Amino acid sequence: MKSTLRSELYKALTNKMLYIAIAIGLAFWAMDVMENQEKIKFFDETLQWAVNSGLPIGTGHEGYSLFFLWSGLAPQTKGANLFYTVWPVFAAMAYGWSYSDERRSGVYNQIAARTSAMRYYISKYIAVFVSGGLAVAVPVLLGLLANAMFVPYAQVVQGLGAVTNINFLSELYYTAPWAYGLIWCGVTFLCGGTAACLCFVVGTSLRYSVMVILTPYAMFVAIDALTNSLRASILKNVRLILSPLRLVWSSPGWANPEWWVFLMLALLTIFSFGIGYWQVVKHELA
Amino acid sequence: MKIVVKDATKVIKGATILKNVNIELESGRVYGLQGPNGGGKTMLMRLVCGLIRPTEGEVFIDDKRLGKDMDFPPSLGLLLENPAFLPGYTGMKNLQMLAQLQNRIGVEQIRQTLLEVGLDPDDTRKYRKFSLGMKQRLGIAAAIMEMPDLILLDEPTNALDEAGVEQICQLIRRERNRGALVILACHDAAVLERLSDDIFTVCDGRVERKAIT
Repeated sequence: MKSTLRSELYKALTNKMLYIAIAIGLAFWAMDVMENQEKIKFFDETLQWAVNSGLPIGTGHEGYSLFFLWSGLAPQTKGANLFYTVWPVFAAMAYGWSYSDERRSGVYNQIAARTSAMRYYISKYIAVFVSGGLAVAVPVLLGLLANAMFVPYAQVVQGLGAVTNINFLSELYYTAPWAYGLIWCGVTFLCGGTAACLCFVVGTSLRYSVMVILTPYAMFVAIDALTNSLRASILKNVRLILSPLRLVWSSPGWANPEWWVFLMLALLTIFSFGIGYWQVVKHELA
Repeated sequence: MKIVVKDATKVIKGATILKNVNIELESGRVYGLQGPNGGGKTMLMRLVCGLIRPTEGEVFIDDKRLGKDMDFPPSLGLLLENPAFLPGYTGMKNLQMLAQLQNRIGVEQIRQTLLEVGLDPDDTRKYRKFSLGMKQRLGIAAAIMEMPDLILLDEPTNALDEAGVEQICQLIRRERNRGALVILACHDAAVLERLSDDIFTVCDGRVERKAIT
């Protein structure tokens, strides 16, 4: 198992598509940084004008600082909006396509015959999860660090921030925002991995890799549309976030307590792993 | 190694691909499969190596039931239809990655095998840049490099020039003399008859032993 896993991780982490996915994600976050710079510039100019005019306002950045503007809470810039609209595509394009690709090409036969179909499947699942997680979490983390270079840090004042007591680790956001940001990057990694692994659901039924890559995105968009439309009727009293597409925001507008975030991720993982497992057990390799 | 295929029938989507196949195969011999396209040669190979399971009947490898006591024969090298490798890696790297899965052989042995099939182990071209003949040679190298007990070669001479065919024939003989059980499907009847100790005709899913003259 170890050697199969090592081989799969090597393939996942050395493949070009992972780096292309990260590069595109970083381009969107670079847009986010630039837009935030503009906002801060405008804020500072307004603040200076207010001080010069003798207006009685505070001079700090408490309500307009790094973690106040951080798009990890919910996209607040065009760049972050673009990133968070298509993030499942980045997750899947990193390495999610490989299982279906290798099964169709015959590489699967070579590997499975040397280890076992199940060992190969589990190793591939872990590698796809890791690569999908990295493709989404690395741009978010580097975006946060890049923003920190330009946007002033100040502890967000309670009541001003978008995070409330119905959100993931809300207390930490106000007391230790850096720890909160890094933990949320970890959750983003899990979201990316979970999305990428949804590629296993289609097995070899889709002929082109690009269709496999779009599968998690299509599923998330469908769930998003469905839950949004049901909010007006049968889901009227449900306050929890239901769309996996928005699960990657730490303050998505609906309640996302820790247990719910992990439960949703676990359910999606069980779904994709279970279907892939069933395919391995029931279906033949040919 | 002894392979016994007992009353094996394979049905895929309502079509009977193999019909009540009964054959026994032993180590140190080359078994040739001949027959028309779509007759069931490749399916028989897939059945013997565990890539598909019989709808009815059983396949035994040294008295152990394939698909129940084991997923695949424990020592297997295969080239089925077209060679399949990762396009972004060199030939050497592809073989290294396959070899690492079992850790039976080292880099030197892989280099030696590549030389034996007529490829340069230091070739820096990626697999996607290989010609058809080079891909075929790499596929054969992957099948034999770990000195497996069972070798399945489906059309190994495809895309090879005369010298290449001769080279592969010598390798197949060497593998047989080493004690491997080789199953070979080849459209070239002369090559098949020259190499095979026994020949089976596979037609419409039925398998019959053919007398060698």
